[in-house]
Amino acid sequence: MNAHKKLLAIFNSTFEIVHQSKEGDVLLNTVTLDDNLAQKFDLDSLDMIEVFLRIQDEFGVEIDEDDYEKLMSLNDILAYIDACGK
Amino acid sequence: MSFTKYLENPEIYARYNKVKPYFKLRSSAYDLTTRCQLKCEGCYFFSGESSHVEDSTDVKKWRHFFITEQERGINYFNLAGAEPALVPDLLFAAWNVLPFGTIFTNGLKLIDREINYRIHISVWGDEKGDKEYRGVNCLPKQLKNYQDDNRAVFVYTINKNNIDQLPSVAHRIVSSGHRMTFNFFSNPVGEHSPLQLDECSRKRAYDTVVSLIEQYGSSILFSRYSAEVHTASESLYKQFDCPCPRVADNGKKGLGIGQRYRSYRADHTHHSSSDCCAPNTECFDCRLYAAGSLIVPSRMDLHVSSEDLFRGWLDYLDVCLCLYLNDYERDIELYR
Ligand code: SF4
Ligand code: SF4
Repeated sequence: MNAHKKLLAIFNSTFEIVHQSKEGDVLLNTVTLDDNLAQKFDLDSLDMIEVFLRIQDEFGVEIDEDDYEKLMSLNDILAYIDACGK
Repeated sequence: MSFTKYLENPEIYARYNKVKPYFKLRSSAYDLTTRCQLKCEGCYFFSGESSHVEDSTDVKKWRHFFITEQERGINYFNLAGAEPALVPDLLFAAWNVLPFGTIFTNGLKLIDREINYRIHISVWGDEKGDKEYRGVNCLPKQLKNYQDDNRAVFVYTINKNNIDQLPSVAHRIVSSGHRMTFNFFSNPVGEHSPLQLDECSRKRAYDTVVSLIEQYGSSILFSRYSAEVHTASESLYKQFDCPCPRVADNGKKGLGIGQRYRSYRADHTHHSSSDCCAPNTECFDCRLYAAGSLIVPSRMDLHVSSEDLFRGWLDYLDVCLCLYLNDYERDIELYR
């Protein structure tokens, strides 16, 4: 699975818990690389932290808390992971 | 070990799923009046500038204001003082807009049972302590007003000098069928209060609270992990930072609470420099229960370095939700 797909899978896992419905899947198909993910999925800060924790586990990267605010779109996150050398 | 690994444990996974829907709670705080029947020693409200504003008393304006707050995304109201029970029309105005909230009261005047918010009733000591700090022994009246009232949670504020009074007060509250929690006196800005907890009193507070948890079980809305973090040598702010706009203004904007949380005064104004649940408290001594309810849950990321810490965080959240929601039942502690 490439990094993009892995990220989408992470958002999907988060949604299964959040909504317990297929809604997340439907939304997921419409997400673009530049969408603000928190806004698009109506995610709160703790939801985003869950996403960051899952990204850390999946990609073996450390996300500094000062960087949370910068990681708003798939592109931001992919670039961050890339910069971490993964 | 890691976050995703912890969730493979069915017990942890179930608890995480239980608390997760409540990540969507978005609260703010509202002073409804600057009036109070009491004048307690070390009262945060009267030690700060929020007490100097002119009360807005127009119920229609308040209703409109609450609707605007709801439109801003707020889905939980914290209604405070000075003493909100003195303005019942404003409580109804809030209740008619949002079904979720907590009213922070001294409990001397009954809040209409139709308003199904959580009611947090402040307790400062036993007969002697209450008289010393508040001028009146409030507990008999508080217990009478809120007899058989499931909305009520008694909040005992632990200070340096009232720890020995806590067991007898807890016995009285719990044997009357009530639940209780603990607040920890924290120094108001610019003061050196004699009530401030020191190392020795924090240790005694921890031991007393843990023994009450063991003795009274689910009647005590506090966990062993909560006891640890609220009596640690470092304040909540030092342990976890704080997401409130009051400190987020110093360059740490943060997600969620930092952008949304407001602490309104009784004239509907707020200032980001005082937007926190206890605007007149010194951050470096902040151990307040209301502050903990904002700070600790927001820092899941600081609780994933071990499974046990994550269990402690889940306990903290579980207790918090029970503290603030009438229909939420807490589970057994996961922390070991
Ligand atoms: S009851 Fe509350 S608001 Fe009134 S004086 Fe005491 S601490 Fe302050
Ligand atoms: S007093 Fe407590 S809740 Fe308020 S800003 Fe400081 S640390 Fe945060």
